[in-house]
Amino acid sequence: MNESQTLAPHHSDQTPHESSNPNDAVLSARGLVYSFGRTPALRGASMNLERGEILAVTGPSGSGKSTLMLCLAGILQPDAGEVAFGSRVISEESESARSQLRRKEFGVLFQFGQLVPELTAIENVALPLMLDGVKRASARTAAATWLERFGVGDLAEVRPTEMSGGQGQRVATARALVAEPKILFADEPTGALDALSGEQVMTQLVRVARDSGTSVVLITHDARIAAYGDRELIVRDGLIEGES
Amino acid sequence: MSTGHVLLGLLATDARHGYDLKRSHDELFPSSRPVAFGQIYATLARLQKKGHVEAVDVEKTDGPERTIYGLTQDGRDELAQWLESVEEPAPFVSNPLALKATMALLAADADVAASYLSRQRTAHVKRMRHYTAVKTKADASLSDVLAADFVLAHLDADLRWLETAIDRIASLEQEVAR
Amino acid sequence: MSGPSIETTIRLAATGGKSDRLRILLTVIGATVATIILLAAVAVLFIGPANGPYSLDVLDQPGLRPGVVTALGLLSVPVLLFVGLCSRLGAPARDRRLAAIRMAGATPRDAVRIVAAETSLATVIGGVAGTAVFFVLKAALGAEPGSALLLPTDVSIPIVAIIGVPLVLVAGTTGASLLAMRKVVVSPFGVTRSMSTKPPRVAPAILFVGGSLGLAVLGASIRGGSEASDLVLGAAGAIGFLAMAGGLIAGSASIASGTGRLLANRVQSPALLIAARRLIAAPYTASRATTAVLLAALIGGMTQGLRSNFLTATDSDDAFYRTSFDLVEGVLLVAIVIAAASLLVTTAEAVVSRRRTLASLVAGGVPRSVLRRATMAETLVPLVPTMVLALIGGSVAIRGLTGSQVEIWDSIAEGPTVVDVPIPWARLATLGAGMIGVCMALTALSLLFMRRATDISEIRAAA
Repeated sequence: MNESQTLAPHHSDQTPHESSNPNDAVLSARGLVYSFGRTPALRGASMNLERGEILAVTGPSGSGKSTLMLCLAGILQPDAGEVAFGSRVISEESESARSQLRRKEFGVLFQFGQLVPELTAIENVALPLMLDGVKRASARTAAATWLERFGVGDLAEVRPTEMSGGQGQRVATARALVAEPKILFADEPTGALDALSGEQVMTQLVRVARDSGTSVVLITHDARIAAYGDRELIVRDGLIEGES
Repeated sequence: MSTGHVLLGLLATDARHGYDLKRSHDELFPSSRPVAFGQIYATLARLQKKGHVEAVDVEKTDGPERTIYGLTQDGRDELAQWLESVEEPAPFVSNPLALKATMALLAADADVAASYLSRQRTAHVKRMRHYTAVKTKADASLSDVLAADFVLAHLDADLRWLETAIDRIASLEQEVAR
Repeated sequence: MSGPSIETTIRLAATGGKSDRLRILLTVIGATVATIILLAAVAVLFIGPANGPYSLDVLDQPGLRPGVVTALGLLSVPVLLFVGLCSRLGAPARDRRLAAIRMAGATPRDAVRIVAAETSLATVIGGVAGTAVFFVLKAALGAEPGSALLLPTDVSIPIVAIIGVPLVLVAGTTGASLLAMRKVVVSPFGVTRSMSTKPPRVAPAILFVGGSLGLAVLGASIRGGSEASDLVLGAAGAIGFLAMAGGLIAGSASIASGTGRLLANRVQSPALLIAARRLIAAPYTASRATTAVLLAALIGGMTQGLRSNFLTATDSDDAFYRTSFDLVEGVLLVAIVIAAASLLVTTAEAVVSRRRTLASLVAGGVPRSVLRRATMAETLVPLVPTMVLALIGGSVAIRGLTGSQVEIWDSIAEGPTVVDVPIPWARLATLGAGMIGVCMALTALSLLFMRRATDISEIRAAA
């Protein structure tokens, strides 16, 4: 195939998820409202996440995009509105049910500080499996495969405090995906990384998500990171302002 | 005179014939317009006249004979000098996007401007998504990634300028309204 | 000395949020208790010929009073350790405030001075409160004249002591706070607690075993009719005890990292895995928390050894020793509770200072119960073996000092006879179980901080 043709812009509209059939939605939110004390963060946001889709959520800081993700992931319970995951209305479930949901069906990735600093990389990645009762040895085997997939297999016995930010974030991504979640929630996953490390983490994340069919909700203020998505939601003042 | 210098650069590793040079050029700069054979041969002739390249061999295949060119010492010096010299940072103010967006913000009414800017932003985002997809492909080569990075960085700069422009106009309108 | 004025320092130390108030409250309570204990010691010290009589033998007999004063003085040591550890309790708001102060140009020393100033201030308040409580208690517990008093409520406390005790305490708690803050780094970007990872292994064991052997040798030479002066013998005994205590405290870190290593590569439970890895990474955190508890256990073991010896050697109908030992055990119980309180503070600190990691683990679906179990295990797993060692070691050392046999008067044979002193296993086991129970309860109490520390806002706040 001729490279210059693949790069030509007129071939760009190959978005694999053009259908907006709500039956395809793996996660949907209706009229989400959330306030931190008296400060409203969400004022009635609604959206759908389609199966296998990488959805970028962008907006200026303080727009409510992170709060939206926290509500979608069942970490925060919205003051009003509902979040549906398949047939489950997770915004009405108990904390322990949502906690189990996050462990088994969702993966969560933050900017930094999510790895247990005392555990080695492989133990950090094996942790979610061990929490679900997988035996130590098989959890470690699975964890090793995931570390390998993110190109940090040689860091298995290294602790996060001895890694670079990019390496740590790859380990964290491996951990977020090790339980083979349906949805990965990533809040500014490259926010603390230099440009190149950020690009590398995103490239690997997108490749693995595409291979495994995992849907991704990607919160970012950076258009270059948002461009890794198939679709972009723009959040402003606690509302979904637009889509592109 | 950049095509000449690009050819010198391509010849720096080993001697090649014109067809090979064209192919390498197009592979390396996929987002720029493919270079014509005529231009390759004209440039080679000019470089040869200046003494920067010389014919080192002739390859005889089934087709026509192909002259293989190699760098001379003068050519190497010229290439080194070119690589050392700084390019004038190019301010793209004559970019049609900048002209149009500026006029939309200044001359059209607010809604028209906002709608145009929003559609412009969507077009930019789509383009960025395309180049990002190209570089995340499993078989993307380094030159693909470098080329995509270059375009992305410029599109991102456009986008930032656009967004700041929208915000500036908004805050200006607030001040006028006050 | 350059830096902010005392007034500014105090003002910066006194501002703070809800969790700062909790820490200050704990410091005030610690200082109040210490003031009461020290004033009580002063009261015993100043019992004159005109005072008394007391129904407690240890107070009534002048020869026993120095022991009571010493015991009360020792009791204030865990209180001071507690107050010092309180100042480490890095409430998030204080950490951010200290970082902001550093960012605004304060030196690391200024930041530590602000922390110490807060402790001093809280101690002054506690000193005043403690003095007030002491005199209220003294008035309330004073019985009608004529009947025998339980406590020396009739002793008048010299004014020098009333002023001196809080001053000594302020010096003590400020020193303890500076000591506790030694490894805490206040940078413009936040507060970090440095940790070293290589605890000594051999030296503490030598100290502990050497101290206990030394006591045995000392005991043998006393029984063999040593001609050394009481001062020399007393000093030798003290050195033996200090060697054991030092060995135990220094060794607790290596026991912590040792149990961690033993578990880390075997356990199936995620909670135990986290606990084990934390023990390996920061063994001194565990040992700092348990210092006071282990000292109490060592002294408790020794007390039990002495009790067994004395009660075997004396007439079992004579209530004097039994009552005295009961009293000593009462004081010990208070010491244990205070010691365990510092466990609470340290565990709370361990939770609060890791709030970002804990919050993101909870966000990722790790149940809080797993994190609670991990925190409990981190404290208790190394504590149990070390405490057993302290109890048995203390009791064995005393057995070495006093001998394993005593000569008593056999009333049937009408002559002296030699009997074995039983090792007080049952009482040691009760004491150990009780101490572990208290420690578990107070560690569990510290987990009340867990919910606040795992609040999602901790992920989003700057580190």
